[in-house]
Amino acid sequence: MTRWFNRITIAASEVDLSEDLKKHIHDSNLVSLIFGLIALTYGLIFALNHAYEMALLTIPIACFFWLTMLLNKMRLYTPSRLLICVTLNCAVYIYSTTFGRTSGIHFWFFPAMQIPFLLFGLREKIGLATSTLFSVALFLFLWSSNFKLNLLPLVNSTPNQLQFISATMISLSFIISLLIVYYIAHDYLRISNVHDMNFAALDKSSIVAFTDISGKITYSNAKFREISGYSNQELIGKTHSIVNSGHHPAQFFEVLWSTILSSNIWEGEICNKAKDGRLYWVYSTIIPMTSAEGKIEQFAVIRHDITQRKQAEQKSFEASRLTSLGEMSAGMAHEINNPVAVIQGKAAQLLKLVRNKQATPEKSVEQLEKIIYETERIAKIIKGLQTFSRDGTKDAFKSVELSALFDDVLGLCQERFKNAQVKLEIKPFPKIVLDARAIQLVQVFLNLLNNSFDAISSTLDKWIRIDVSQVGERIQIAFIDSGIGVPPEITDKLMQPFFTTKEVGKGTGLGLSISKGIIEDHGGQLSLDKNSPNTKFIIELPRQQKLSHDDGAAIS
Amino acid sequence: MSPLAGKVILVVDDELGYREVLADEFNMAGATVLTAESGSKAIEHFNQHKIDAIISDIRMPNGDGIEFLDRVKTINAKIPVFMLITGYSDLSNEDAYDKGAEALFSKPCNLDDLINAVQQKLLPEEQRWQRQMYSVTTKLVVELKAPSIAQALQARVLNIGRGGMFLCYEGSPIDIETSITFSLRNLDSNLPIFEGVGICRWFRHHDKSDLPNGVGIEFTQLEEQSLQTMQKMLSENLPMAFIPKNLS
Repeated sequence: MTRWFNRITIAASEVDLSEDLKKHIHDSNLVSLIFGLIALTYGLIFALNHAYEMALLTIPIACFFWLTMLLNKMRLYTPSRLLICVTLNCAVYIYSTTFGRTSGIHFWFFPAMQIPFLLFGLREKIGLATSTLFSVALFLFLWSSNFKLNLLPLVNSTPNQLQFISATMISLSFIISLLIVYYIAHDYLRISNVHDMNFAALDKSSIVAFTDISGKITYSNAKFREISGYSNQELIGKTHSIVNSGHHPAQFFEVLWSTILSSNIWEGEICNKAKDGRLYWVYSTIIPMTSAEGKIEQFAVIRHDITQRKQAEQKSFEASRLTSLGEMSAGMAHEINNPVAVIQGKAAQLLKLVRNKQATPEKSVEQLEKIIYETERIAKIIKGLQTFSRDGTKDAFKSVELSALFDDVLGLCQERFKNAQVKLEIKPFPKIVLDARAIQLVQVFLNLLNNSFDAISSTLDKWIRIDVSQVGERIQIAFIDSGIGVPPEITDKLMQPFFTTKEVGKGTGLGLSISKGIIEDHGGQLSLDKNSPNTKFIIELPRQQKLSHDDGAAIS
Repeated sequence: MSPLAGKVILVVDDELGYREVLADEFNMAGATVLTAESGSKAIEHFNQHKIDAIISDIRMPNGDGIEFLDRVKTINAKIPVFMLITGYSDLSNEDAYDKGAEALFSKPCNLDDLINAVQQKLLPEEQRWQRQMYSVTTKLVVELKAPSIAQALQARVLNIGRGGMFLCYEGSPIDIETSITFSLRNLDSNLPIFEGVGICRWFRHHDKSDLPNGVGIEFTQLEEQSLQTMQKMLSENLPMAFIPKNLS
């Protein structure tokens, strides 16, 4: 018996709360309730017809039905179903064996009673198998033992006694049943209604999917099918790699998986690809659903379509990039002017030497080398400018040297910083090569530097420091400035799109949110160090990128 | 012998390459060259050496050129000659000359012009404002009627600096670098009291500021009588401004 119960408990815990099953549970609860009431009504009818023994018999039967409801409420679905089997079987058996002939209830009624179990069990294999087996076994046991209920003490009681007992019991049972109806059924229906309404509201507003622990889709709602263009059959059993756009590197999904597999909720923006190849953006929340023991059983994936916002952001980012480009152009004119002046001067001097026949080969080479050096400087600035004015979102990942990225960035902003007396220091670091979309990283660095610049420009001691460190396969780049950190009340909003503390017209409020997106696309993280006495933003990046397209288990 | 021989020139620029170019240029012209990469370094040189001319960039970390110019001019308005080189319009011509800068060059500049300008500005006044220093291309005669220079100054129609003057002027705009022949005449006798040739360094018209409209003229040559007037004025009371931007 203990083993039986163990198995039953296991079976119960394996039950997942799919939408259909929930409906099924409510149905069976309702049926149990109605059966209980029917049993009592029969009892009332029997009592009114002076068949008091029969009336008393209906009370435990009604109680058994309500007990199944209780078990359901305790989420012990299989035992509750078994109890219905037992109760109905016993009831019919007793009827047919004890009063069958006199009351006109025939024995064939018994197999007919199995039909509701079959209907209950149909939707769930475990329920069907166990309940059928159980009722067959019970029937065989009762049949072979030729069990007969000894109703003699009751039959021998005087009719008055019986009348009194049955009247009391039936009235009590009705009161109990009303209480049960009120407390359990009402409570249950209310909860289930609220639950269903919540779920229906969620279903209407969000893209919902459930996956098993390996990431295979077990449920998809209409919105998911609508946005992705795939049918339910195409989605169920597949992983989310079916909608993988290839926009995000493997690291991105590694971070995601490690988050959810450690039972944490993951949230973020993901670019997906529909069946027709159309790209769409979703804000995704992945919630690991754990059992009582803390074991992850499945993941709920709730997403919202943010494609339009992303497009708007992209446009505003474009605009803000052009604005900062304009702001920087003044500084850059000067920056380019310096090497031009040197080239002009050196060339003029060399010309003079040659004209005066004073030009020695050594002197000429020296002058020319310097001229070439200066032209390379200009080329670098131009390259930085190209970097910033280009949209790098669709570039492939290439290995780049981190210091080269900094060169590009400095070419663009050094002059502006110098003029504002902002000391910019990059702590020396060993050569680091990483896989990146260079243009995007330059944009992020520049955005962080510009933010710092704006924040500290009115303070007295102005400095910005960049610390680079490498821990294993991950690179950490810290941007620290002389500011005194971000006020705690806005730290949470900092990375949200369109959040800005700058005055109207000065900032779009997109810089940090886009930067965060870019870094996450690189499989990294952008965060604010709240513990630092100065304002400190930390970028963490993986050194290498893996191809994401082949990553079969990707949730996206 | 080069006019720059024996002169000490201080070159201030944060740009190493350009510092080299300027240093080479002045070395070739026979001058002794000191270099500094910032205003604060330049002040140290200035305190330790006798310097004849300073060529300074404006935008530099650790003390910009304007700050340096102000400090130098507070110490001595006349020596050394101070010239600014700028890659960008950080400072209006008006303000630069008013602060005491004697020439403004923009990067990249013609090095020969720079050398010539330094040579010319290092000359003593009587040689500096001699006839035919510059060939006059456009002539614009400005005639002012006033009994004397002193009265003209009092009447607030002009202001004279160490190397040029501010003249109230309401007429049509004058292009920068235009040569201007000016002549101040006595109201009664119609005899010239101050005349010469200059170059328009800036022009201010319908400005939003409270400053009067007018033109900043750097003297290139002065008639003998005017030269004497100038020398007397300079020996009496030396204004810090090379060309003042306002009336006294």
